[in-house]
Amino acid sequence: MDKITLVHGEGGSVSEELIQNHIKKQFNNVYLKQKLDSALIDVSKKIAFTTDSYVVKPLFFSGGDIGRLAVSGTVNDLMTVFSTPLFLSCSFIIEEGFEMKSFNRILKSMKETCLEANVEIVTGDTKVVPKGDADGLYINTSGIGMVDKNHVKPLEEGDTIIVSGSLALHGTVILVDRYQLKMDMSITSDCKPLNYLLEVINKYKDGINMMRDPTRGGLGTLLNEISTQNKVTIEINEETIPFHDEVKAVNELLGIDPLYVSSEGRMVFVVKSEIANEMVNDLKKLEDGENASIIGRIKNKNRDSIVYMNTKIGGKRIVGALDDLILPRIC
Amino acid sequence: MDEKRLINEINQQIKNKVNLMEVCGTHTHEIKRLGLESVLSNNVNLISGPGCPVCVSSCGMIDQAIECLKDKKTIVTFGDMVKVKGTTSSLKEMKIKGYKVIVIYSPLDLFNIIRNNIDEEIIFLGVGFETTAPVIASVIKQMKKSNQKNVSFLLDIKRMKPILIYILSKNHKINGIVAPGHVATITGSEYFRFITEDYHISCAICGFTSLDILSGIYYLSKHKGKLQFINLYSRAVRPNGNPLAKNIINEVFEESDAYWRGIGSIKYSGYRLNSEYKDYDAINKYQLNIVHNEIDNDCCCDKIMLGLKKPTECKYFRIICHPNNPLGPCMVSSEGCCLAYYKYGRKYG
Repeated sequence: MDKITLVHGEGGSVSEELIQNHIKKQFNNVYLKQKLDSALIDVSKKIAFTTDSYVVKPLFFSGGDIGRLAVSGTVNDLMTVFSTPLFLSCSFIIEEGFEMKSFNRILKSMKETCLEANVEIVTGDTKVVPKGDADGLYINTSGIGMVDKNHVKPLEEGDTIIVSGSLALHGTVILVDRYQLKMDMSITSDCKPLNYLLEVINKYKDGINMMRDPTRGGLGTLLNEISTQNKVTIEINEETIPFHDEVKAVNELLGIDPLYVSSEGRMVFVVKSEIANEMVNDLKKLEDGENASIIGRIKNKNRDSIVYMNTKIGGKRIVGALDDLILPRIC
Repeated sequence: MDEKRLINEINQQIKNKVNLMEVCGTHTHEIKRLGLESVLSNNVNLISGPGCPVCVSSCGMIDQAIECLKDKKTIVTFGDMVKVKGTTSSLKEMKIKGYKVIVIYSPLDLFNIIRNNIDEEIIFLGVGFETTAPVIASVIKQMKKSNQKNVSFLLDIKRMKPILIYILSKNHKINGIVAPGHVATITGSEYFRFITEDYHISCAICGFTSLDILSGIYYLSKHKGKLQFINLYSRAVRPNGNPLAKNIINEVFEESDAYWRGIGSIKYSGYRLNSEYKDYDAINKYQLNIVHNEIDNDCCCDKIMLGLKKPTECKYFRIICHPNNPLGPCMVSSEGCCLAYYKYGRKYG
């Protein structure tokens, strides 16, 4: 069959065919071979456990697809708590009539991203809903990671804020598609699992106080969350925030501040100031890390929970929390 | 000269208070984004004029668009317009309730929407100044040429000169105007010369980079007391503007009275479709009755736009009037003065 139909979700032989010949063909491992309703995993340590749902539109975008995003997003959330990602679950909600070819392409992409992230999909589910009840395909993944030691520490005055690379690429690529802007761009989504940072993270983990990934809402929203949750004032410097020229141009055209546009393969670190320079130099040596940069610091503790920016002309302005949907301005 | 040197020069040369109005929403936005006021001398008082078409759009237009939605028609509009409140609701709220509101980035997208929805009555709700008018006019012209039947236009297009005359004819304390480069690209720089010749106020036409805006402020503050008129955006603005764009405006539109949110009706301050295009005017096609209500008559946005009051002096600011419940034009779009104060106006550091 070249399309997924309601019968694929009915649990009979057609469902079995979809699971065996398409899904398990890509994700095969000892846990799926158990053929149980739940995967049985030996766990002797503290675990990190997270979940996320993926409804990105378009399903395929420059630099990735919903499958790559669904694996990377959950893996990256596990990494922010200093855990080593190991196992994922994966649930598909598929709209009747979805192309089998597209589904296989997404499965293949998930498999490749799992290999890259060194994780396995050990349990899952597939539902098919009538045409019009969903928009193509949605994915939910949950993930488990092993925690050696809880490394999240309180933030201190003077701590340095580092980003692992150029920001807002993913959100910008999606915006270009969403608004059907016909432009030749060299940029692609930064969507990727962040395991490649592990070497640097392990080297500096005693000096890293916090890690967060600037996904939905971008750097601006993340810094406001950090500021509010930790009761700190955050200072950032406009000139050191790495945005690709095309990211700046597209967002300017749409009237959107790239500070609030998402990345899906970047990490924001809050680290002790004495390790900052050395750590950035190591991040820069990684593939795609050449734009890693120190962007600011924790200015004060236990005073105002605000984020402000030193602008390129030497001015200061508040970087507020996003209070509405991102919409392009017209004037 | 770079930005930091210009800022130093401005701060050194300015000894007395100078009140400068920027009329364009894009200027307002950039001034706030750069944090310009935090580095300029307190003697430079920047006032945001009514230059954002979304902010000054009439409540009545939104109300009528909502009525059209209830009448099973589709509304197509720009992103910012969906947030703007009518008397009781907004297009965003209607969309959530399941009514068909399509957000587009360019009026040219209308062609695809019409092709893909041939059985639906589509109304384009458009706002803008002289900058946007030519694109909308050319779309309407092509619609007529291709004899499209299922589309009409609910327009609230404003003209810059009448609102400036309105402001400058009133009691104000403006010493100089930073004139909008986008509008001047279409109308030409000469369109703004009346500011200096008739109202004896200096005027600099400016572009939108930090250097452009600072150059305008530098120029206007340096020559305070001496009347000056200058086009600092000559790389894009010619004295007589863009003849093609002006022609299409004249071909499709005629000048008409327009209603400005928070201010009221101003003679010949807008454009409407002329008799040749009246079949494409939604007001005419569906016999719409636009009633220009204000959400609250005590809203002091008009005084804020005249530079007579600061947003923080308004009794509603932050308390009742905020981005999710804007009472007047200044809190509506990202370029409104009150919203800029709301977002960036707190202390830092």
